[in-house]
Amino acid sequence: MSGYRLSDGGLTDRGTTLRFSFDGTAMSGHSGDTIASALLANGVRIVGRSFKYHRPRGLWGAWVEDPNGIVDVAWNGRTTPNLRATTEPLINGQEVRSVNAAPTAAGDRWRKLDLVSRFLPAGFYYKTFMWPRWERYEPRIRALAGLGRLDPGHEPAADCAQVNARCDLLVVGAGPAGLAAARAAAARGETVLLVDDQDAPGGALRWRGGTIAGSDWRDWAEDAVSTIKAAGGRVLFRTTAYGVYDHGLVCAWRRREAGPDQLWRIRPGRTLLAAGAIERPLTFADNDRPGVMSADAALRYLRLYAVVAGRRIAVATNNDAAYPVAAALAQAGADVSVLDSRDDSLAMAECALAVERNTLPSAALGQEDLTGVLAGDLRLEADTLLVSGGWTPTIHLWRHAGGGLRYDERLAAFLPEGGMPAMRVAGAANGAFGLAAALADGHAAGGDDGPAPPVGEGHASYAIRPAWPDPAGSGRAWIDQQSDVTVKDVALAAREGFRSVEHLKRYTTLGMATDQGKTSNMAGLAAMASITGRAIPEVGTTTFRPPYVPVPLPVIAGRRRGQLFNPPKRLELEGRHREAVAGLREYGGWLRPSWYGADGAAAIDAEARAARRAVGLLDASPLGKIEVIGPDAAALLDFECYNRVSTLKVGRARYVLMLTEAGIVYDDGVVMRLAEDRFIVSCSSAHVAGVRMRLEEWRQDRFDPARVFIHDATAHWATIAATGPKSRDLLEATLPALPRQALDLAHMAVTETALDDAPLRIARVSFTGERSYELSVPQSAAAALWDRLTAGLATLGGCRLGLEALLILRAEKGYPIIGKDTDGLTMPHDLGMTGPMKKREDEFAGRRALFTPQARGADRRQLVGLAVDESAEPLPTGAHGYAPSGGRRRSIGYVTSSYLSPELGRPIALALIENGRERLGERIPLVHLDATFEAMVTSPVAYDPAGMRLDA
Amino acid sequence: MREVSQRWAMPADRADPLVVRDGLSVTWAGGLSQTLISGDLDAARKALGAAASEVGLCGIAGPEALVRLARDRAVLVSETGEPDLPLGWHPHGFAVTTMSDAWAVFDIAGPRAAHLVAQGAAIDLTKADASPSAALLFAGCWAILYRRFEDAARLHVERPLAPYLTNWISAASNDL
Repeated sequence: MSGYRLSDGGLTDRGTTLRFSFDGTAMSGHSGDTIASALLANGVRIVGRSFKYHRPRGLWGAWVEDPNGIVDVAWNGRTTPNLRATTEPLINGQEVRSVNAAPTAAGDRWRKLDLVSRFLPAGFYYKTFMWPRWERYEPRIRALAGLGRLDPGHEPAADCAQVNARCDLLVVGAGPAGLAAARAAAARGETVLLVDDQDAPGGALRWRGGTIAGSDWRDWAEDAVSTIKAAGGRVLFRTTAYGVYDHGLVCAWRRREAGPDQLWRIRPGRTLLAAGAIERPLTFADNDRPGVMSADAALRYLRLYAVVAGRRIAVATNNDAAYPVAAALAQAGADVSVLDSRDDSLAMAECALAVERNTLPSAALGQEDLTGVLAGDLRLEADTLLVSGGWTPTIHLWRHAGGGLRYDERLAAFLPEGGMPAMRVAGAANGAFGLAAALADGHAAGGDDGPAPPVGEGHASYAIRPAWPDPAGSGRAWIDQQSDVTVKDVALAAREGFRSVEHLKRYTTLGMATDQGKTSNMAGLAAMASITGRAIPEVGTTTFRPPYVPVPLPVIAGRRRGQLFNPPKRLELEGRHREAVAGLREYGGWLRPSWYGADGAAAIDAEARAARRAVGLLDASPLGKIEVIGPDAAALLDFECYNRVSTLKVGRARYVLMLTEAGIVYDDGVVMRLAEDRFIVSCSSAHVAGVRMRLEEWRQDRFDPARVFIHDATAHWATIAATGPKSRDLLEATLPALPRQALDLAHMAVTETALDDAPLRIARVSFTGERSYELSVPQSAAAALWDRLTAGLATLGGCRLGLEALLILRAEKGYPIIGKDTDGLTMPHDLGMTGPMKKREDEFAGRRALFTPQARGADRRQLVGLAVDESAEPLPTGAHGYAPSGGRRRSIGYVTSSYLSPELGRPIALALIENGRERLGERIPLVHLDATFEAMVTSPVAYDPAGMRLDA
Repeated sequence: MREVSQRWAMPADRADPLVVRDGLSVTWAGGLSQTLISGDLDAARKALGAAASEVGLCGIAGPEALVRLARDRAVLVSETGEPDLPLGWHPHGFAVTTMSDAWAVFDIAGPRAAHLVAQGAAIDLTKADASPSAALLFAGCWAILYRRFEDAARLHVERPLAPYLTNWISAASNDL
């Protein structure tokens, strides 16, 4: 317990006290605190336990780079797992719990696991726990590992807006470089969108301070923001640009105080990345002890929150950037000493504190908490060790966009190499360390060739002497604190042949945790370079992939839930169906009536009977109404359809199949010829979009696209089907103005007329085997037509017909539903349609595939009917027919549709059975789950095989 | 037996305005004639004999406009009734189909219209030259978008998806 808050200073609101708890202990903070700053101010050292070994872990960083401060937060009755304590604002009443620890981080009962760590090295699960089998151990091991706990009762609201934005220039990062670039671009009249993940401009200026253009940096930053807004630009704080995607799309996660988070999809003319740099750790034995912290983070906690990380502080560094930290902490009252790997530097010379030169820590002392530092022979008492191993430019988005990297020996860092028209990098992310350099780089990147704003005196230089992990060092030196990877793990990976940095990553999980290796990747690849005798650039980096930070899933999902998730298409007559107590279900992307009435099973039975004996009225609006128009329309349809269409006379319709290039049945439907050069393809409801695209594809690839066009008018028309022996009577009674020739229309004929000034198309097409009329009117006339027709149903003994009854009726007739009674191997001759393949000599889609040896094989699965005893239950759909084979069952096909036929009074079924037509009359065994059945193979047509009822 | 009539809310009544709030109104635009024309659009325009303005994405249309959907496809949108143009194939090289009931049309007007549109599509409503084609994906639906006035967008979507889009508009307009 050594962190504490000063009595004044910082940017928090001292007048507002916020109560919260951590692992059950009551604590307090102020408005403006993060959870991490509040924990530190309350003296909390152990904020969690490591993923694998349950080692104690304290705060390392102060922002997104921190690998350790992962917490579950309960607030307002709901728990959100795995929040980052360093970026999560403190809210009154939060209950914060550490992850991967029980019952508390400090008192974790699994902490002794670290004692057996030698048996759990990198990749242990590839080579241990193999006897008798891994699966026996895996659940227990997985239960011990992992991060936060899900709250089953917490279903986040689906209210995150997804906003699209465009701008001339997107600037990522509102530090000195980003502000300078955005300001310069805005001054030139460009529309700038500036995003930053903090809640105010300035970047590192906020805790390192500075003088720009002769005044405090805040004045300059304020002016920059005003300039951007005056030029029509926007500035978004608390907004993290987390990924760059195809065509330069940048996605950003925006957090708001008032309102839910947002996902911004930004399509900029160009992007400037000014995301700064992240301080690297130093690698020495037990460098993961709570109390070992980034020096820059300590300064951030001090300046923003007035929290001092410790009372007796050692600062270890290999560069000049840590000296202002040491000075500030000393000024705040801490007892500070400095260790520097170098012999001399400008900052060292100006430092008023005692400096141990040519010295770096070799070990951190203490068990659960830091008690001192060992540096060779030197032993320092310290409760806090602040380290600075140099700076790693934040070039993640640059790499997402495909930018290259080069290794800069002077800065000991990978920097952006080359240029991309759509993106450039400026500031510390570009290796321009120090305020003056960053400002100049950003100013130029913003397009201003003039001098950059001048900076005041006193800004430290950046001089670094690399201090990479020492493979020969003693003890366990930690590289990746979140994934529990040590230098020895890297050496083990190298010994076992995983020398590629990508293999190293996957074998050890280095850099694969939720922090994505922001503080560990450089040390890891440097260790591998040292171990394998290669230079750092030879080892290279792993692939940078979005997201830069973990993004909450509700932000990505947006509003896609409930009424906005996978919405079905809606019928114009839905209100009428609901009034008639329709049960609604989704069929092929449409919400349609399944039956009418409270008792579904009884209603389906009654509707099927009524359609056979009187008349049923079906809302068939989803049926395709794709117009094919032009001089080459018939030729296109000849090619698209298995059945020839060009021989169709005007005013007639024909049932057709459409095949894939592989000869597989894609869809079926009816083609109607309205004029020599105008057809309507009435395909099945679920396949409208697909058929339209196929027609369009063949039109553009094979035909003169100026001579035939595809117009999908499905949504324009409502189609109402009257089916049954009294369907003609219904039309005659309820639509007295219909011309007689419309009523007398022959089966598979079509005519156009009018009803109440609305166009009306009537087609004699049947999917039930009964006399049927399909009446199509514009949607706006649908309700009037439906009302008139339904008014006549009762007199005739008819009723409304739902989809479930229709499915029975068509199955009785053996009419297949493509995709249900066919599968991805079914060809037209498997359905008994052999005429076109025998007679047609011209080319059509899929033709060639119909003549391959496989297509002509004797063992093809063919559509047949299956009959069982009248008293038996219907066969389960999906039941497999089988043939005994070597003591086992060999599937010979399966049941595709199965119903109890109300009209026939017995079960009926359709099935795809191997060589089925040769088996007519044969009894075959079937199995479903553990039950077995027997059925006789029959013709698929169970009802009216002569087709006499079509004109009844 | 399982059914989902309660899962999906009854579609909104088209007689009611969808959204009326500060800076934004969304209403149904009823009574429009919509005619799909494919092929030689110059020939079609001559056949129409009308001064229909041609607009693309975010262009500002007049009471009658030929809204381009592709190089060889446009929809003639008219507030003054159906065009005198027979359906089907025209020997001058174009095809005509009436689509007046195929697409539901929404008028999105007000200073905040662009903010609503920005949630539905990756376009800047204020730029009249965004694309020669007014066809786009809006809130996941195939749609047609142009402007009727400076800060008034007009959106066409397939009529069966109109209930979804009304829900989407209602949700999106709560957070602009």
